[in-house]
Amino acid sequence: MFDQVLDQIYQAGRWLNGTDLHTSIRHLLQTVGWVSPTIQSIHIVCITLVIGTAALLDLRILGWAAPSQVPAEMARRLLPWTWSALAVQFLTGGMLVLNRPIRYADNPSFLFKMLFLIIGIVLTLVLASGLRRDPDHWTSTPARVLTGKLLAGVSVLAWVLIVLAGRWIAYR
Amino acid sequence: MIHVPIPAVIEDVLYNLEHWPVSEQIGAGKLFPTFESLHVLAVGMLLGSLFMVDLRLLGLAARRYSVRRMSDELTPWTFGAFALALVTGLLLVIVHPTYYASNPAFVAKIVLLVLAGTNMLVFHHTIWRSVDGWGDGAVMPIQAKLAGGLSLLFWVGVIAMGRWIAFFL
Repeated sequence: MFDQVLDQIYQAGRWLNGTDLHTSIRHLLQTVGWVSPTIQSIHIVCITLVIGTAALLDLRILGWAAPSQVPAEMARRLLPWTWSALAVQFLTGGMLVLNRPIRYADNPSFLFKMLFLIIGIVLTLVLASGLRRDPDHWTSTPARVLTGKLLAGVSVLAWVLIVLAGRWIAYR
Repeated sequence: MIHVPIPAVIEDVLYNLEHWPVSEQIGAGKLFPTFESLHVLAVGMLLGSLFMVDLRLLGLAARRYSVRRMSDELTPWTFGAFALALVTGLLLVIVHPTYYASNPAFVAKIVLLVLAGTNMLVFHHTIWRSVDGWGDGAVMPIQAKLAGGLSLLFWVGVIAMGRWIAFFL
């Protein structure tokens, strides 16, 4: 089952490799020298926004950072930055993947990064939806406090691992 | 490709540093990518925490919060992240010091770092002294906006130049 999933991803990479979009992006990145480093720089600047918003909210829920800020208000104020930054990440990251689809489809660090990404996004959505329904959602009962902290802990770990795995892609 | 000239005396020091067993150890194994990953993570935490204060100073975000309080709560994260970035950065640089010293992107990165540091020092010794008078308002004084804007600019430049180093190989 696991092997099948990996095989499907590899097939998707091969399919992407045959598309015109891949050819155009590869041509652009190979002929215009500054495009690649610019895309990568934007990608790193936006990961700092994700860390500074989503991970900071996790740290607040864990009780480790920004004690004077109110979690529900933080989520309302910060998460639009998270989703905007992630949209830029999909765009810039997507271009890098389209440049060399098979390299990524076959790269364990990249696949782990995508897995952590899904975990980070889902947990952030769960934490935010709780706060939207009730500002005290994750503090109202001891069980909720524990759940909230657990989710926030795994979420912050996921964001950290996304950054680390991202750098390891280059070291196959 | 452009390369920055290095004086012979410094080049000699860098050459010896490059052949220091610790440097060679880092360059040989998996330590380089490990420190590199931690460096990117530190940069993420550094700018992530700094962005919020800078945007607050610019009056673009979190206008209901006291700047003083926000800075007090977030600055330890910024400095902690900076310490991690500095240590991991140094451990990376010693692997190929001569290469970095002559790399225009690296030199630009260091210049921008110095500018960012100077901006912060000037800010803390001028308008920040009277923060209790203006720090709770939604509109910031022009000096605070300037400091926040310059900080964003310099740090984004630091990241961009950091990424660019690899393209001067």
